Amino acid sequence: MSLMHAAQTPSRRPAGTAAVMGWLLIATLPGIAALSWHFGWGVLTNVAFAAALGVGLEAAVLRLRGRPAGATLADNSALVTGVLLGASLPPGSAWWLILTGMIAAIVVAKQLYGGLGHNPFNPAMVGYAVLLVSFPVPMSLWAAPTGLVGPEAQPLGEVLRQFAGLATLETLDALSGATPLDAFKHKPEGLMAAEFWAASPLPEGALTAWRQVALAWLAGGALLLYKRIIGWQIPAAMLASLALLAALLYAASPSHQGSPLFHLLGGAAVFGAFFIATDPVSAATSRRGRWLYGAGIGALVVLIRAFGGYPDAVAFAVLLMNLAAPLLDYYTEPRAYGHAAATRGIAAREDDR
Amino acid sequence: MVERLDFPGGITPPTRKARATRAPLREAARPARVVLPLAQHAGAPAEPCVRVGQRVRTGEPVARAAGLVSAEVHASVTGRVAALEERPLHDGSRGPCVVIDAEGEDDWWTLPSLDWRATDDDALLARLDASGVVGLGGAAFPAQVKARIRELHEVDTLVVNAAECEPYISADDLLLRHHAAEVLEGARMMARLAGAARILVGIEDDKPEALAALEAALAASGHDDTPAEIRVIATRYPSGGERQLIKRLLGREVPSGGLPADVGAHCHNPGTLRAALAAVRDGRPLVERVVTLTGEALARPGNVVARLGTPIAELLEDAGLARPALHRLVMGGPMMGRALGELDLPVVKATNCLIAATREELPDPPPEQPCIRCGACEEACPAGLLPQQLYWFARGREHDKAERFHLFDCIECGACDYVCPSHIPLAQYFRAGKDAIRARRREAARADHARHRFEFRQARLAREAAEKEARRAARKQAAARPRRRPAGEAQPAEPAADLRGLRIAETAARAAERKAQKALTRAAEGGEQDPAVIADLETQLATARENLQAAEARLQAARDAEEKTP
Repeated sequence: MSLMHAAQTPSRRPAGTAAVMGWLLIATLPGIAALSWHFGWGVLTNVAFAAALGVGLEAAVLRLRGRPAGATLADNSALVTGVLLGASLPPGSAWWLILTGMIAAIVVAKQLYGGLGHNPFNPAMVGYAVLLVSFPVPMSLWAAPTGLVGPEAQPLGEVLRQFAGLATLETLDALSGATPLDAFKHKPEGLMAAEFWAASPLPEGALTAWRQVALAWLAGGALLLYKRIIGWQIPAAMLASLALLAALLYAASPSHQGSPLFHLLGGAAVFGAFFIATDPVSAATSRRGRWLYGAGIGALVVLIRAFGGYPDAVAFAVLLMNLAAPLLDYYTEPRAYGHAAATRGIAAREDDR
Repeated sequence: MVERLDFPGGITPPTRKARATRAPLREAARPARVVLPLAQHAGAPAEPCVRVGQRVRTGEPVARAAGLVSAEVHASVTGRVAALEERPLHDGSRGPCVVIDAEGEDDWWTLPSLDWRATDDDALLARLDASGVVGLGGAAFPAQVKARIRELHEVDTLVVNAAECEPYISADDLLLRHHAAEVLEGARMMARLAGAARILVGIEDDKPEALAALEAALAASGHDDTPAEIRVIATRYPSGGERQLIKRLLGREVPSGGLPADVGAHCHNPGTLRAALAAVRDGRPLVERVVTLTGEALARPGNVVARLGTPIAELLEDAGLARPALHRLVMGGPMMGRALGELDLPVVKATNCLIAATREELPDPPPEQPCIRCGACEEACPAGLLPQQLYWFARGREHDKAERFHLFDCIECGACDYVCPSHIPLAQYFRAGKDAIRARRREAARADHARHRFEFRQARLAREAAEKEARRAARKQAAARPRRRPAGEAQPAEPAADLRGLRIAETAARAAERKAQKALTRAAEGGEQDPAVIADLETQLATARENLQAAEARLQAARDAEEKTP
């Protein structure tokens, strides 16, 4: 075994798991900042509470499993799951919603499968999907882009009341606005896309806010790429296939389909491409497998958005491709040195034939 | 897909060679006592041929090669055999060693000097065999066995593996700086033995002095018949791996489970080539080698020519070992070397480097964390494997899948360990996985062997029965002869059909016998080392012979009956 380790040499790439996760957290900062700037304090309460729950729940389950908690918590992975789920939820979500999501993510999707490295599904997306299916109403009440400060901004006290679950549904409904994808999804059947946009269906500045948030996530993603924490294959494949399929649909029916740019920047696509789909544990792991994995997510996102029942689809697309990851890995193995061709799939052993 | 011209992956760890390459090569002090393990080469341990108390001269054989793959061991000092005893070895086990106490000056025992150009192949091979020359790069495979490659394969290129890609090690570097001409001459000799038409020297670009010495030596000998070429390659671990170097220099890939000779290449380490030349030209058996002494715990690191059997502790003390600072002692390099548990061990033929490292230099690895399947190992793997998957299968003991994912193509270079952010000792898992699979195969083979022995017994009983039956039939015939069977009463077509069936059975038994014979010959010639495998093949051959004899007896009896009943 090697007695030397890359950690001993200066390199751009962080050499330990804890450092990788640490840099991942740093890379989420631009996205979280942009989200907070546009959607207010609710983003920060989400992220802070979810992150704290991530650590707390992980420690609790490790205790139940009789595993040493200290070393595992130090890898920062529970923190990452919390931050990612927190950033995905509607700003100012109630505590019970976040708690339910985090239990699904950390306890069920991660620890019950054996902890870090053993989860077949992306924990944050399992949490998100559980919430979306179980609590569709609070999950679709996205705050209006009233800003963090300024005359229209929701004061922190109000946000905390929401967080504590004291705000009534009417108040929440009044405060919220649809996301661009949601609004577009639920536009009346006969309405043309051009007419829909002309009617300014969104709260003021919503589209701009979403675009800026997407660009902020892109900046974080660039940092991840620069630090070689993620490979470029999955985000590139996902965004490319998403844009391509969206362009095809748009070309076929420009009056009823969103433009590729709308699909790229209007929802969680960029966030998903750099922060969710790249989770190495649940992704395909061979280099060619990652291409197919990313491309599959991109295609599924567009298909679900266009023809499915949900306005955005990153969580479902990622979970579906998580299912396919082992298969992809079996069929995309690189050609090993000294072998004429790469092996495909799991062949029956000779004595089984 | 575009064919890669280079091996995939690889890493560039800090080379840490500068400390040991500043000083020129020097002769280590002659030890007062040497310990010569009888198993310091690949293959079977040698058998001692000296008595305790016997006086031996430097270079005199003290143990003879035993078996097809083995090597002689020679006295590395002049003195008296003090003991033949079990002593600790480098892998933590104990093994037989010849201990010699030095007395007085070196008194060389040499073989007659030969001019290799005027000596035939058999004499050269015999000389290599008698001189105990083994691969000095670390694997210690007997050079004579390797040189016989020509009998089975066609080789066109002799590759001199001067890459020395592993950090710390500079033994080949220093050897080339001082003895490049001898290395080249040795390469020419071994190229002729292997039937190679050209020589390629692969050297990494971090050894400019060695390169200059090689170029000068090549220019000085330019008119020679075997064309030689030096290829400088970028420093990248593990380009000194035989398979990786062949890919990099020749663009050829050694097939999985095959030998470099399968693609016409033959690799030798520079030290081996020089030792081979010394054995032929000077008649000097292998009794010394270049050893790199390095590590932060040494005040005077450098490369020394040390007699085999020299206590490691003595060499390190001479190089200024600060014992309190010594945290870890490694034989070989930091990637593939072996951590030594104690200082009381001798230099052996495979000792290319000794690293006396401090705690800061080669710290204990932090605790293993879960694999997050980040794929860093895949990018580093020089064999194009998926270490993250192999790790999964190794941990889950899914040996079938591990084999399917080419576990046995892993060269255990440790590049994956080096990059793993979770500090997982992957190569260690892979070695354990291979061991488990080999153990399982042995187990299956044992069951097969038992079955084959049973089949042999059945065949022997059947043959005895057949012979008895034949004798009985013959007696009956003899008794029946006087009374000739009246015409028309002759037995109808049935015996003829029976005869035909017996003839077919006999032919089939003969083919089976020939096949079993061929399998045994192939295994023996292919250097099969496991005596159990040979014994099993012999059992199968014996079974086939019993079957053949039985078939012959039955056929003969039927023929006799046919003849006597017209």
